[in-house]
Amino acid sequence: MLEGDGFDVVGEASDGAEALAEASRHRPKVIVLDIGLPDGSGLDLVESLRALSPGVVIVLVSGRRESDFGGRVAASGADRFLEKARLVPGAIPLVLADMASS
Amino acid sequence: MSRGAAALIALVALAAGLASEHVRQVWLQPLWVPVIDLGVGWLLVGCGLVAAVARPNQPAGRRLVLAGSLWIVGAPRQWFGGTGRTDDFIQLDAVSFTLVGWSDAVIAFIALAYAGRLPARRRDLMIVGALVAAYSFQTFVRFLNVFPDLFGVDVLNPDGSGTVLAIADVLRTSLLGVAGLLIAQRWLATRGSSRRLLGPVLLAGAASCLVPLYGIWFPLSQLGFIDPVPESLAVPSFWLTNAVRVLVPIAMLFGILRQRVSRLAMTDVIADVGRTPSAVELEAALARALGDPSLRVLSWDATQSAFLDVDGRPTPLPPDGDPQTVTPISGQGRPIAALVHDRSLAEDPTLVAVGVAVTRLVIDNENLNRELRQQLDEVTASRARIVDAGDAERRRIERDLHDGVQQRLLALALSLRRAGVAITDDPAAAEALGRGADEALGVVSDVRDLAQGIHPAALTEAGLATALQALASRSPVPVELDIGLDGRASPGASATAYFVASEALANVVKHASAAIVQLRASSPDGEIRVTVEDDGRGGADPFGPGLRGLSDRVSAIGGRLTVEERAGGGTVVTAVIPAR
Repeated sequence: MLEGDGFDVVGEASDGAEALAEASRHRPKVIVLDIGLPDGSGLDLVESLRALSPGVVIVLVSGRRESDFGGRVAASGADRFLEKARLVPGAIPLVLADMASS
Repeated sequence: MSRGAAALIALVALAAGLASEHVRQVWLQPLWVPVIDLGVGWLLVGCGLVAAVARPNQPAGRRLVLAGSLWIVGAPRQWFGGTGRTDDFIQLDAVSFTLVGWSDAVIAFIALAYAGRLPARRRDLMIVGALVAAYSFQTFVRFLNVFPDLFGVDVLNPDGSGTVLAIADVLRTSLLGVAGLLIAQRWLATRGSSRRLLGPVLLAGAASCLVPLYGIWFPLSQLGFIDPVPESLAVPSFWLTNAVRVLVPIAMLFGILRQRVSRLAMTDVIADVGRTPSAVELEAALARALGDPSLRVLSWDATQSAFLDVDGRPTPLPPDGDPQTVTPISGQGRPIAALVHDRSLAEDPTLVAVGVAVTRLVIDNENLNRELRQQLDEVTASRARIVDAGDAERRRIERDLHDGVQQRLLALALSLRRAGVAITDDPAAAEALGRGADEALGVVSDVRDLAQGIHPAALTEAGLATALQALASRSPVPVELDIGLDGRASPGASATAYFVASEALANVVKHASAAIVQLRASSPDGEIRVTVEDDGRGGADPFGPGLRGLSDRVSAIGGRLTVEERAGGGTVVTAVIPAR
């Protein structure tokens, strides 16, 4: 889907530990991070990922609503939150465009 | 003895006393003669009747009535019944003297056999029999004038009969003294509350038997062993022997009055124990009321097969022959408790019966309370486990829905969407696929709402504070939040607190027409306190199904829910829940 939107997908990870390894190797510009990870919460990973590649745009995604996490999404340091239902082709470019305009 | 019978006997005794005095023309004598005659006689009969009514199981009262009757018939003659009289009434004088003597013998027997000491019975009877025989001797001698020369004694001759009677006097006075010593010995052998209960009668009995020993001077002087007794000694002797006759009836009356006081004290026991019904209090109150500091209340412990004292220590029962005895208390064929007390308390079966009844009530009450507490503890624990299990199940279902159905529906929607985007040559098919994707997302939303109702995702993901924030943010009525939670609550407690807030908030939305709701949550001292306060129209029914169910759920884990009318309109729902 991301490739369909014109992104170059440099790495894929199936859990938090892998995500850190991939991020440190590839220094991506955009990270789409699921909150519900097998080895913990994506919310706790945002700071470390940002430290590995400064200037990265981190988009948190979850099947749950943002309100289900209270203020924790905002507090995590992530740039945007996207419900999975909205994670459709064209969604990420829209998010980036929105960020650039604001 | 019934009260009616006692009253009848009392009337007869009154009449007989007066008649007896009249027959003997005692009215011509100085006043003290009839006063002593009637005073002693009526006192003996009266006290005897009181004792017979108060303690119908004991023979002492009836024996006292017998002693009094003998006295009433005999006494008016005795002052003239000295030896050597030759008037027409000489034989009757002798009979009177004997009757008075029998009266004394019966009194001695009352004290000897008081409160029935069976092992001593035979000896007591022998002594009293000998006394009766000795007192009968004078009558016997008097009637011997039918056979004037029997035994070689000229009994009509004052000197001859005087000698025989003086010897008989010495004999019976000594016998009375022996009886007195035996009674005194019994008194010495009593201890504790035995002495307290039996002491007065035993001491009175000993005195009434030993004091007349003083009179042995007279026959001894008659027999020439000692100098004649001066008149100055004879008068006090007369008063003394009559005074001690009333000691035993007065002591018995005293015992009965004190028993009444003890029974009154029993009502104090019931009052005390009613206030704080515990075995400890019961034991102290019973010991106080019965005057037996050694009294113990033991309760039966079926698991240990032993009696326990009030502190719960296994306690052996006193062996046979111990001064203490056991009154067992059982119910439905099983032992419940036992009273260990001084043997003498058994003298008053009524008192012991009251003690037993009170003890039974208290021990039953304690046992029931303990069983009830155990059952309640079990029920409370199992109720909390059921609620916890329900919560855990709801969490699992919510997670399963989220991780399973929802994810697969999202994947389906995404696939449909991508397929729709990929089809460029057939707009109708692409649109159908897009609708399919939308439909799938609609189902995702439905599933999410369903899961939210089963268990709020926020509670799992971020805890109670976040869940309450999410709840407040979804509310159609504006919610003012004040949350200060330390986050240490168990999942069960958090879920319960959440459901209180959610249910109360739903009620506000449905019924209250409120402008604003305040939702407060804090965690003081290992508790969670949740308050939902609205400014609506109030009138919430705490016993309606919604609040009732909520209250059940809160109390199931040991918390409490209160629903109050808010001053100035509105409703305040507060739940205080152990954070566990």
